[in-house]
Amino acid sequence: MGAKGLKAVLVNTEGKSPDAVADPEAFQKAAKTLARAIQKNSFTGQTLPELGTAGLVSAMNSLGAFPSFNATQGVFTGWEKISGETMAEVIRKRGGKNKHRGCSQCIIQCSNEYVDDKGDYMNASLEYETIWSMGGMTGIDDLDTIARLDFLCDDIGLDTMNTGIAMAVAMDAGYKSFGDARAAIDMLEEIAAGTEMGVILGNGPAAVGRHFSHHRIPAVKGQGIAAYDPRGMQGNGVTYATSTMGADHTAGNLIGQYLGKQLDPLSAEGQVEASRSAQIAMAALDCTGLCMLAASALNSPDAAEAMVSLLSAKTGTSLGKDVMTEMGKRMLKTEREFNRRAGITREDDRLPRFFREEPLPPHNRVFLEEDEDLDHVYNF
Amino acid sequence: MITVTVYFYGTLPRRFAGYDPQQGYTVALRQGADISNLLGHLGLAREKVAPVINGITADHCRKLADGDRVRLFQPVQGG
Repeated sequence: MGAKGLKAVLVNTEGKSPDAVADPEAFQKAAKTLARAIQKNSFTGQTLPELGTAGLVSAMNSLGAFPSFNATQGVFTGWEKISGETMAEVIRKRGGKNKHRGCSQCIIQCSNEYVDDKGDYMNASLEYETIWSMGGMTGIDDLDTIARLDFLCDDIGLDTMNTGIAMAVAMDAGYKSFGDARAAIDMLEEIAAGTEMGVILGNGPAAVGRHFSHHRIPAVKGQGIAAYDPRGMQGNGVTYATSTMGADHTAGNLIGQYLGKQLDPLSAEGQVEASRSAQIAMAALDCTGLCMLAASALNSPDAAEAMVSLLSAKTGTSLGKDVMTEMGKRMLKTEREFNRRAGITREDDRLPRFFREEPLPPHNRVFLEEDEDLDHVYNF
Repeated sequence: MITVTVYFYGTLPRRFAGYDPQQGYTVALRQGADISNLLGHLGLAREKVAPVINGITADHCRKLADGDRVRLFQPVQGG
């Protein structure tokens, strides 16, 4: 939309009737079942309220799939300094807030308020992906600096993930040094000032890569990757390559299956099927408006059934148990058609070459999925 | 006997009094012990815990060796 010069979308709610629920009683009953499942689930009920999404830093580094120094390392030296466990302890000691209702009515409250060593507010909320992009990717192992970079991104109006990757590509190309906190802050301020380099950085990792003729640009369809390296988590690579939105982890993230040993993250086997299922599920979930983190609790049969009951009560229709799958498939097909009309082809459903050519330490794997297998992800 | 060092993550650390994340938690087990023995020793046998050794999620039947470093995680999803 930015390319079309669109600056804002305004919605006039005047005359709008309250959001209708066809069967309020059934809706409330199903919502209570879902809420209980969310509170009972150890991730949504314990880990997220205590550590937020930052709890993933330790897991991803321990699995060797935390893309660091512009995706040249899978373990970030000094990750313990920026882990969720460390962050929670720093916030607690300094008098910040480890638990914070960032979203209205949320029962998880995974947000936080990070404060400096005097107890003064620095930013809210410090999230996993930001700690990764502003920390691991740029080689900065200091939470205070990361919090400052996060605040600046919020203030300037920048996405922390693509901006962090853009800075990492610039560092990798030799523009600045990895780990240089002052240089990272300067780069953000260049974006705000609109300098020639600031405009390039502000246009994201692909623009920075083109400017420096640098080959290592971790992005698909112009969208930077997330904090899961596709060589250490092959299925996340399938999602990055084939998602209609580019390298978007929220389109189908398989970390839960890898850590739970349901799928080998380093093998090509089963990744296409797993990514396909996850992408369908996430597309359906996005239609409902339910938070993707809350949806972690849908793994339980009771919660999954409650979700269908919730949709049935909302719409006044008796929906079958396959409603989510059907909705997800329909949504993905619509998105694919939109992309086709926009000129995006299967050749765009590919990871950058370096992921196939440069092994990622410590497992020293490359991305293994064949192109023709990627072309079968949307065969449904 | 073998000695392994355990590192706890998520909400697990606060369940072990005096746990130091830098040093880890040292556990002595009989020769031939596996992950499930370790979890039993730690009182975590009935919980969903993901053990990671050398960057790989380990099966609960994996035999432990003297000097192993075991990282224990609770289930996570994407964020």
